[in-house]
Amino acid sequence: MDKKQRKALEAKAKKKIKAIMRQYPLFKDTAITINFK
Amino acid sequence: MKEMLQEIENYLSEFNNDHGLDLAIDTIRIDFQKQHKKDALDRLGCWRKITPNSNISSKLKKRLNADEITSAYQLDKENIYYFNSSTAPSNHTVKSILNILKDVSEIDVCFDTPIPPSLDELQKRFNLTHYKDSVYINTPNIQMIEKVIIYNKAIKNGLNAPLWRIEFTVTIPNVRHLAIPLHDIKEIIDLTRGTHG
Repeated sequence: MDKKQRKALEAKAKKKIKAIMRQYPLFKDTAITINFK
Repeated sequence: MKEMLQEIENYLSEFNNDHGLDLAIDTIRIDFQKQHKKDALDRLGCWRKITPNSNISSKLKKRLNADEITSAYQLDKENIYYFNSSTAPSNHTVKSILNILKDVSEIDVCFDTPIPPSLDELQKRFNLTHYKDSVYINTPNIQMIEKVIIYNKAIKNGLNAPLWRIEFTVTIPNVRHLAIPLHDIKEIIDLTRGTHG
């Protein structure tokens, strides 16, 4: 897997994690930034 | 909160399995209006004020370099914080950082430099492991420092200016007595500058 493919997968994972968080009222309508190690 | 974290962890674990990846969350940052969320935050648990001069406070402020932080709070023993920011006093912006590390067990301390770190002195003292564009000290044999990573952050983040990062993974044995081995960290940084001794 090259760097570009990994970045694409990271973006996909970040999007899904944000979606999970926004299901919870505390994080609804908030700006969320996620960093992977 | 724990339910949400578990859901995220389950998802990531499955995602990693499906794609042969090793993604792990380092930081989650949430920006929101304090007046709308403060009650909900208080229901999560006990928020303790962090001493302004503490090491952890300095580290957390680094992550929010654009803001002027007036006070920071930590949720129970978790590595979860929120900040009052003085940059928007009219609407009391609250900054929140969640590091999903399951309690505070370790933190990363970073040193950034535009000068390429020299490995000459470092390799006399430590066993260096090279992997891709990074150099690892996996067993520094220094109390509380679990690992050291040196990498070209300009390449990793696609920056226009040169920037290298020396990242120390520091184990926190007791969250109530936070201490960071700054002398050891400085010694390693000095070795990479050729200014040791």
